[in-house]
Amino acid sequence: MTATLTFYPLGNADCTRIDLANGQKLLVDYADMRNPNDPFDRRIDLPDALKADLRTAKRDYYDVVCFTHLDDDHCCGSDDFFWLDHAAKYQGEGRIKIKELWVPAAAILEDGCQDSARIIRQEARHRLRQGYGIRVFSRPKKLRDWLEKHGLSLDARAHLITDAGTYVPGYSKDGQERAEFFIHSPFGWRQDDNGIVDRNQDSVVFQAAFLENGRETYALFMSDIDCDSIDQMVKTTKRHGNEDRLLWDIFKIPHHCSYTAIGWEKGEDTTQPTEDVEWLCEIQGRERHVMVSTSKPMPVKGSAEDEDVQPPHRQAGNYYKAVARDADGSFKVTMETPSIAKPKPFQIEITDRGARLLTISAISGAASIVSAPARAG
Amino acid sequence: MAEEVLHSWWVEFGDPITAEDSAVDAVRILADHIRDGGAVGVTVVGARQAGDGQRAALLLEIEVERPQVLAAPIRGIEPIAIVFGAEPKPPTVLALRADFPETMHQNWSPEGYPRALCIDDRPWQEARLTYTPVDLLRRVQLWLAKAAAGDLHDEAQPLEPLFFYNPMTLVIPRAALHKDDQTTELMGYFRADNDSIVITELANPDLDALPAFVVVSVSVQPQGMQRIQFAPQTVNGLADHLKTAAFDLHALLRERLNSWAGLGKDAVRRLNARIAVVVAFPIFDEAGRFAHDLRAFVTHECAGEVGVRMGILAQNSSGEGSSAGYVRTLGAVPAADVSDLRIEPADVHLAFDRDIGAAVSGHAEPDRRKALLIGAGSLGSHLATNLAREGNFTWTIVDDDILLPHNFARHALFPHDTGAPKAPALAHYIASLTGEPAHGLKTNILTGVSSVQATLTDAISDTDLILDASASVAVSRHISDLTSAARRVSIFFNPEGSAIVLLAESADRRITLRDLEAQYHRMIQTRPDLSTHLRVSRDGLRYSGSCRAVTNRIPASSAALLSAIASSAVNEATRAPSARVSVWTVHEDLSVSLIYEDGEAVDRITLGAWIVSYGASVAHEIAQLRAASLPNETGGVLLGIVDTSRQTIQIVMARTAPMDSTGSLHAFERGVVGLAEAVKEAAERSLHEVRYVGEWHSHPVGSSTWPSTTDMHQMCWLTEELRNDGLPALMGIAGDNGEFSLMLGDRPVDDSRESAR
Repeated sequence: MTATLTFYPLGNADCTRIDLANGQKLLVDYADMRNPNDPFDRRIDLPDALKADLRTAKRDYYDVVCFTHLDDDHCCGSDDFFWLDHAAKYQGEGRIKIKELWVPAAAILEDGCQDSARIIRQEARHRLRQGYGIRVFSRPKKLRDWLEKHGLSLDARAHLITDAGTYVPGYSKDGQERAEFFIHSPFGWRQDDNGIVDRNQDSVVFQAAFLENGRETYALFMSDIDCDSIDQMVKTTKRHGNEDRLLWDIFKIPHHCSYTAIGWEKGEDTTQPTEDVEWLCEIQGRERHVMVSTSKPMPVKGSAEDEDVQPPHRQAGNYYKAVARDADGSFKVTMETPSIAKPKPFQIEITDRGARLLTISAISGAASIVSAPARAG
Repeated sequence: MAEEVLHSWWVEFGDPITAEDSAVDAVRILADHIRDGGAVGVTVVGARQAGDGQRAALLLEIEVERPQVLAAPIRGIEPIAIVFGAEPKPPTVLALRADFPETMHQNWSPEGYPRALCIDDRPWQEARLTYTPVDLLRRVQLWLAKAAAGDLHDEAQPLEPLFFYNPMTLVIPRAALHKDDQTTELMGYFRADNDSIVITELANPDLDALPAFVVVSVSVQPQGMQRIQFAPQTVNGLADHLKTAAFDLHALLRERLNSWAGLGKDAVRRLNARIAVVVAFPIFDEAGRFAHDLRAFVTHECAGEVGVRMGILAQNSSGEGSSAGYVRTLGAVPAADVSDLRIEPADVHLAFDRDIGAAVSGHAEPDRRKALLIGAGSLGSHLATNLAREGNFTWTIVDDDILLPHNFARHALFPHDTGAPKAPALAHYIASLTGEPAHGLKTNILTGVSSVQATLTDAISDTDLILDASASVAVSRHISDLTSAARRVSIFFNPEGSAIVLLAESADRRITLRDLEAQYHRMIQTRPDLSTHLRVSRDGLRYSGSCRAVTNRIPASSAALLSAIASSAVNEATRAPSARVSVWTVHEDLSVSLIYEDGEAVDRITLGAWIVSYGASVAHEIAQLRAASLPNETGGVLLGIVDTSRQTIQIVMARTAPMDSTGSLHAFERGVVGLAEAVKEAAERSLHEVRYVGEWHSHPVGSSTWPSTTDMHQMCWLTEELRNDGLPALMGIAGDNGEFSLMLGDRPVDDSRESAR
């Protein structure tokens, strides 16, 4: 079995399923955005699609669910979908269990959040207090304070905390899972400097590396960070001589294709990248890569959508398309694939020839095409 | 996609049309399907219709599923033309990018034409049963995805039917590939009943039919050789390609044409035939195995005309000899322009031989072991032809019979051989299947014919295997006794034709056919499911007035079924080291069951002039009967096979004591109740091969197997009894630790007594 990444059409929202070579299933964000009362809503029924996949795999849990941050478009509906240990209310038939919950430190420390975000925060706090089934990214001073307030020490929970610039323990390219995760963000110091949590900039950004028959394939999950954070991340990575950890074959485009993740000037038709974004996109992306915009369709120039301040931004899309074209790669938008009229989940297979966006092979029935006559005589 | 990057063929194919207006239904249906959004990643960018109005094509842009590391330079979007013609031709799928790469699984196009993708292996008549536009497009998309990922594996390059409507097929002998010998001249003839197939054979001056082709065979060295990507359209095109392998086609043609010039009958015949250049391109498959990719190219003009165009020959205008003759030109020849000498490709098949047989049969390679087949009857003929078709064995066939009309009900040969001696006729047929000589000796292996005796003797001593299909016990025993290192196998039907029996010696010949014959009879005696194995129906068919001219009534289908089993069984048994007795029985519902035993070790004891033998299971049987009766003595009769001509007795089984027997600590008296019936039944069950051969009894624990005084008396009685049958008397005494002593009483009484174990 080879690893696959599955992206779901959720509008401007994220959920990526990672199936590892050894059958482990990881979810990066979960945002059930569909309005069941709107017959024209083209967004997928996410819980239904995920449960169908789990049924096929005879599972009722994910090995990992990572919430990169607690914005609604990354965790909406989690309280209805997952089995949560912290309150009996969230336990019951059909709920999906989480073996290990991954969150940024901000998700523990935030005050005053609401809805799904609050409930995931409660679950994360519960697990951290209990000391099981959780991984927290970065250790700002406030985390130490929080732990001490709950009668715990940072040392006692250090094994559950992973800092930027290190690998997530328990995963190795040489293990059966043939995958490892290098954490780029959040930075602890950044949260120390700022008084309040900035969810987007303190979100989890990581490089997943997959090994398939000698070939390493890299996926960068950029969450919702902006170009300042990218610049910071690139500089820090370069300073540590870790440029390889920013190589990529699959690029989960940050923030639903917002121009702010490229440069601060939106531009007329194309957003100009900062120096570091340019390096990341144009140098670090390898030949025939796949860029994925987890967003609504790209606006047509001059349309109402084109005027919207919210992403996706046409100018950002044009920049990424140019990057894809130069690398003979592809730029895919979740709500445009395979068509705007009927978007469907799509898969990227990790092969010994690198990443392969499945178009024909994934279609049901394609496998049944036989070329040999059924009778011999 | 701009038109200028497309292959120029697209514009030449026909005039632009709107797909919806096409006269060809399939084009409209496919275009509609795509426009309706039914095909993700496929866009219609144009349509054209050929001048004949029969063919039309859609130009599509197809998105390709690609991995990052490409196995072949396939683009993310490829321009693909799908050409539909009149039924019954499949749609043609052409890659229209001018520099589309060479990959596996393409059809062969002429030089200057686009590459054709082979998207379906099935014959179009099969594929069209489930044809839909969806299926067609998926196949194209899958083909492209596989090409990009290196998952196409078929290296065959069939001629694309769009460009080669009805290509010729040449059948050539394999030897033509390997012989650079110019004296081996091959001529190609059209079959009278099929003008698209050309059978080539060695030139035969006696043949009256005019050859259609003279065959020139070219075998190029693997070094630096590229697979030929397009079918060259001219002699120069082919010559240019061969030049890359340092082969000079023009020089070869000049030399041949020079040697063929003249006005004789042979010269005229050759020069009025077209030239077929057969090229064996060396290729290596994915596993690195070497093979020949055979291609043929035929000239449009006859050889003489090719010679004229090359400036080597001139039409005979001397007024002498045939005006259809060509003569060499003399003196300086102007530089010949042969650029317009056109050729067209033809399919090539190698004539059938054992290599093809083995490959088609799924064998790794042909089995060339020498086999001496005794018996060319129904079973022998089917066995030999089945095995020869599979590429097996180098054959010598022995049979003294001739083919009579009734034989063809079951024989593998045909009525045109009526009256022919079976062995040479079968050998001739086998030779045509293996492509190698096979020998047929019309002789009886038992009696011999002096004219072929030396050949037969050589064959026996030189062979690897002796296959006995004689259906004769006498022949089988004779074969078993022959002096030769060859391993022997007997196969025969049971009399009813419901079972096939295989007796295969061990590779080391420690267990011989003779031993296996006894073991086979023991199986018949002891296995309930073989109780009717040797049953005989009484209505044999008399095929002439002679009293022995009776043959069994067994239908050809049964003979073929049993022979087919035998063929596979011979294959398998002669590859395994151990000896084997196998009996396959076909039941009324046509199910087949198998009973088998590995050949068992045999004790052989020489007693005077006689040899007595018995298998391990007989010894075991006696030891068990003795043990069951201890502390008392027990005994019974011995059944076996007697061959007076060889003075051998093979004990097949030891029977238990009849119920009225009395056994004590010191004596045993064998009773008689039911004994006569049991012996009779055993004889009938064996078709009278097994008979009463003597007596056995046991001695108590601690007692030797030396005969007691009573035993000696008994022996005298037994000798007298069996003398009436003309046979010696056999007495066995069983003792401790499996010891079994045998005595043989014969007139004059021998002092022969030996002990086994």
